[in-house]
Amino acid sequence: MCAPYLLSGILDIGKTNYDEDESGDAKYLKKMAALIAVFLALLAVQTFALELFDLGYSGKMLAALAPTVPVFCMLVATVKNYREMDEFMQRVQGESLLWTINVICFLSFGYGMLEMVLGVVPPIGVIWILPAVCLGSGLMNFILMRRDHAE
Amino acid sequence: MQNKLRVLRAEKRWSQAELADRLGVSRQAVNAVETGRHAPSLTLAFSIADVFEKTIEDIFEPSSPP
Repeated sequence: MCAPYLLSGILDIGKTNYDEDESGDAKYLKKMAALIAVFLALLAVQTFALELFDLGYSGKMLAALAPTVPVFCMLVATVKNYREMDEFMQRVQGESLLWTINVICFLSFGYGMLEMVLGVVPPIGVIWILPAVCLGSGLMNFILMRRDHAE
Repeated sequence: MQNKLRVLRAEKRWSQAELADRLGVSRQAVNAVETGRHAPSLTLAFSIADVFEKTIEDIFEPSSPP
């Protein structure tokens, strides 16, 4: 549980007066960009480690899970950002997430039904759930904001 | 719920962004309340009333009589 605080501490190094005046959104975007950079770096380290070294079972497990640390920090950051939003933005974000989860659950349920009836369907890895939720939620957020603006 | 937010804001010559700053919410939230797409919470309604130095009843009224 200390990882997010540790990383957030690292990211706050070199803070200037200007940074303290930054809006919550700007800080959030900066933090997310830094965490994505850490994620990509760990992904590269993971790839090289698995290619170049003969890691044991625990080593492979560690290498496989290393990139999930910044991802966990991103999830914590999104919750913190949600809490800092005003009530209207929370409503829009909540509705976006609800739509996304509903659509993903519906599609996976339909896919499961096909698998049950047809027997063989192309396998889809569970690794795609998180990117699907992130992209879907972002897309739904955009659609809902556009809808609210158009009305 | 109907409200006089747009009229009151125009009287003060504030933009939506300016009012949003005073209320500590997003411009989208002000727009949503103004256009009646979002019924504000009691906390936000009190803040709005406070900013305009009016009571909640002066600004908001139900769509149909109770």
